Amino acid sequence: MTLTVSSVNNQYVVGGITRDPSVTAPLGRAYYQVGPHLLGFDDNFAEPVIVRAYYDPAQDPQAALALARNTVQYAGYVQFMQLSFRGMPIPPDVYGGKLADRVPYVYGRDKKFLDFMGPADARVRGVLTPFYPYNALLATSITDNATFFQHPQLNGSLWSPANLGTTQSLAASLYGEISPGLVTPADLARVLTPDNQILVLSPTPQQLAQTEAYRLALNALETTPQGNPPLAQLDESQVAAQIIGDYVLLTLPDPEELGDTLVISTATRTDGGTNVIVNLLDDYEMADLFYNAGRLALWRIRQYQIDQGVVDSEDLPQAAGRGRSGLYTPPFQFEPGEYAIQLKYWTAAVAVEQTRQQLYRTLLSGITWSALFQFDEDTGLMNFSTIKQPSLFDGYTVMDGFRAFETSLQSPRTANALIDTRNFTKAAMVRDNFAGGSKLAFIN
Amino acid sequence: MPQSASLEIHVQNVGQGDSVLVINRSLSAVKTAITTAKGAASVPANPIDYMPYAIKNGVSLAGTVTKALLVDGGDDEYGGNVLDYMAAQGVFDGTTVYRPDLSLVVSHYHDDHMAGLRSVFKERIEPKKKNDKVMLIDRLRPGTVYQAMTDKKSDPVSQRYADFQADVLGAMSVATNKTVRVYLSPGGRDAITKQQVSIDLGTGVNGIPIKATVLAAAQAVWDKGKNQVVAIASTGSTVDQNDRSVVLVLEYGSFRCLLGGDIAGNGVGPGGNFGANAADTGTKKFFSQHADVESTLGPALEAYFPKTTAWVNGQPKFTADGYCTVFKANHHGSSSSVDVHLLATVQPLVFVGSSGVKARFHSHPTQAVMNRVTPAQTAQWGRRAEGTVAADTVMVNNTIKGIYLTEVAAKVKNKAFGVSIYTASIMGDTVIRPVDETIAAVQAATSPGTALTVQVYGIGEQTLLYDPGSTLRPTAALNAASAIYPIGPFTHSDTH
Repeated sequence: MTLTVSSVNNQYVVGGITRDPSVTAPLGRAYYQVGPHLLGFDDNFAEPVIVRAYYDPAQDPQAALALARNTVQYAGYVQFMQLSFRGMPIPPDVYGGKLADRVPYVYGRDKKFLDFMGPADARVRGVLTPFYPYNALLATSITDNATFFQHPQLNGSLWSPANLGTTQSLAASLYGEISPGLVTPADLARVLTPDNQILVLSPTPQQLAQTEAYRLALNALETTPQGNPPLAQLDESQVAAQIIGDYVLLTLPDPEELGDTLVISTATRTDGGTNVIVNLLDDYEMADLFYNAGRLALWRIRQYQIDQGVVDSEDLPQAAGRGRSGLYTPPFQFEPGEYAIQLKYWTAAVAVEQTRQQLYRTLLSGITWSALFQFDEDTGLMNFSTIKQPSLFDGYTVMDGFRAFETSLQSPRTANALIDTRNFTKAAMVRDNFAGGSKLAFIN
Repeated sequence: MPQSASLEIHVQNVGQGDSVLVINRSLSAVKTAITTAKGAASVPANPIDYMPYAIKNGVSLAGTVTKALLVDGGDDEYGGNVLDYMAAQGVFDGTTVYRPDLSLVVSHYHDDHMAGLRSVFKERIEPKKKNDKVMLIDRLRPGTVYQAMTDKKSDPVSQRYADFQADVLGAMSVATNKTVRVYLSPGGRDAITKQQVSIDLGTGVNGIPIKATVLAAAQAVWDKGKNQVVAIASTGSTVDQNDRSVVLVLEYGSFRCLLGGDIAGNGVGPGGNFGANAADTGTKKFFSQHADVESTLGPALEAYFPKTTAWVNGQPKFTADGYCTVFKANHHGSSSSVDVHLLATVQPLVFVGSSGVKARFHSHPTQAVMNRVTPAQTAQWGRRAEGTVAADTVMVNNTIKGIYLTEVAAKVKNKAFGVSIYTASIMGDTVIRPVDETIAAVQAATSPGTALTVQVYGIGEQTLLYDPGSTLRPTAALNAASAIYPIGPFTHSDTH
């Protein structure tokens, strides 16, 4: 069966994902079709953007060749990343924020790294090949590989050439986050205090199972107390939303752009139940978190360049003009529209094949694409603004990445390293379409 | 007749932020500096022109400042500009770290007022070679720092606040020539002495004192009429730092300048704002609303600064309770600030606002405030309710003769900013100076009707914006390059 794309309520969905023709899978607000891959982007929340990839073996000659060998056990997506500043690769901890903890997987002079759960989690779960769908092991009780052949799964499915029933996934898929924000859950936790806590709800387990915590909070603030709810007649189309770790941030509209932000989180009560907690940050507190983070990231990059001998202090731009004279004024000047930072992805469908002698992995087909960032000197914001369209790649050695993965799991220096599991476990969260805030642009 | 101006109020252009530098200057020292640098023949005939002449011709003003007060420092990106401005004005000579003649007030702990102050305290030293790190070293230690006292409930959670506090603490912790910090308790009392805080800025013409009195701080207003500190209740369960702003009244004889930080009023009917004067509350949510400080401040101003009942030689004179010659826009002209009722109390001669695009655009000044202050739009202001007299039944004439703004957006991210500023002038840095001779004349008057004159001129420089989709409106007409005043000067007078 071949995958098909259709539009439902301005969102693209994929048909043909299982043998049941009525089943569709989400793709996103925008998508690309490149060779046997569909790549969709969902920016209902400004961050993280959800990326969904589907690999259709029926459309790939390489898959046909592999199947002819009769050695293919299964296939799935693996994903690698690379950060660069004006073309210079930079390690993720230099960029900072939510990508900083990816260091254990950095390999090679071009500072690529695997997009996968941390080495410690991978070791505990006995992961041999870092297929992206295995990240679901962080949030589920899946105990056998066969489960990953079914659709849907939290982080996507594996594909098997065997016939495994009606709900078998007929494509390899990946559901992940593009979450390059510079503000971390720890940064946010630092500013959430009992004094800025405005609401605590104690929903039933059934309510939480049916409705996202942020939705329960928003509903409460829009309807209670009766007669004078603080968010009565809130125009939700003007709300801007993002997720940082376990926190959902909803920035309210305001005619003077001084809107407060609700920070919604959950906490386990002593009786085992779950509370939904709402804190309130004003515009200035949000600015302190977000607007300074971009400038600090640029200073880390600057320091890295100096430490690498790429630039010296003479290369600092001269202070030019009013409003560029602070302690944290960036050490670079940017052209309007310049994409200074690129987060490049290699999203590859890899087969696990087995002969009598050995188990080995084969690259079937891969796409490379990029998330592009612009630094707004006026605001200090590092904006993830644009997706550069995917293209098929060749010449990229996925096997180097696998070797780096295996090394990371074995090296005493990295084997116990953790990567924030929340980067992988929120991809399936139900997201209302909050239209406030910026939306992604797509370029060739 | 020659004119002079000892007191200078520099409303610096820090984009969407605030920084006001107050200088009491020795004009004789400026004359000496000009004579030394350029020769006696170069000294302008009119002493009021000394300082602008010196700036224009690169004559150092170091040693000409008797006392100075810096109220806020804009956002971080403007910190160096603020320091450069202080250096140009002779407040900072580039080498002397400790300046006992400089006082510093942080109105409240938001970045657009506080973050730039870090550049006053610290200088950034860039890394020179591999493994060198950025260093922040001491640059300047003011004699005294005034700030609203902190407590766990109201402490900001921002990193910038923590950094600022560390800077102040560092300046207090040196072995000698330490900065003194005065915490302002609610209502503007010294947290230790319990006395109302008044910042001594020396004397001007004829020994007339120049001082800045704190009337509100830490979410409370000192009401002399009630002889009590009146607390301001928050609108929600969280603390809004704007509500905690330090409110200062600068006094020099019969001249006063009201500096209210980012306090708000009511914005709509209860604050005397109706029709086009009323704030747009359509999409504003409960959480976003500031407390109403102005409604408490108005009566407190009237009680603290009563009008003159007997015209006595040697005393300031005022024809209205609570009058202030200059009113700096509260909260950059936010629609919930600068209520008509407060305007009816202050009855200012000059209204000045600090607004812009960088670092964050907030659609300031708002149309509602521009409508309230512009005489052609609001010819009369209604007064608040008093006793049995209902609100808005007693009207006072709009007294404003000059409206000045530092900079104003034309468009932001390709979206036009359509607020009409009517006849207001865009000035960049805006310098306001009461004319000494008129201060002296009013002080000496024994009957009503003596004029007090204020001179206003602009520097004109605007923020260099990065985004081509964001632009600023042009400034008022620039003078010829040879002129010592880049924009203006303009003069305005009222009678006392």
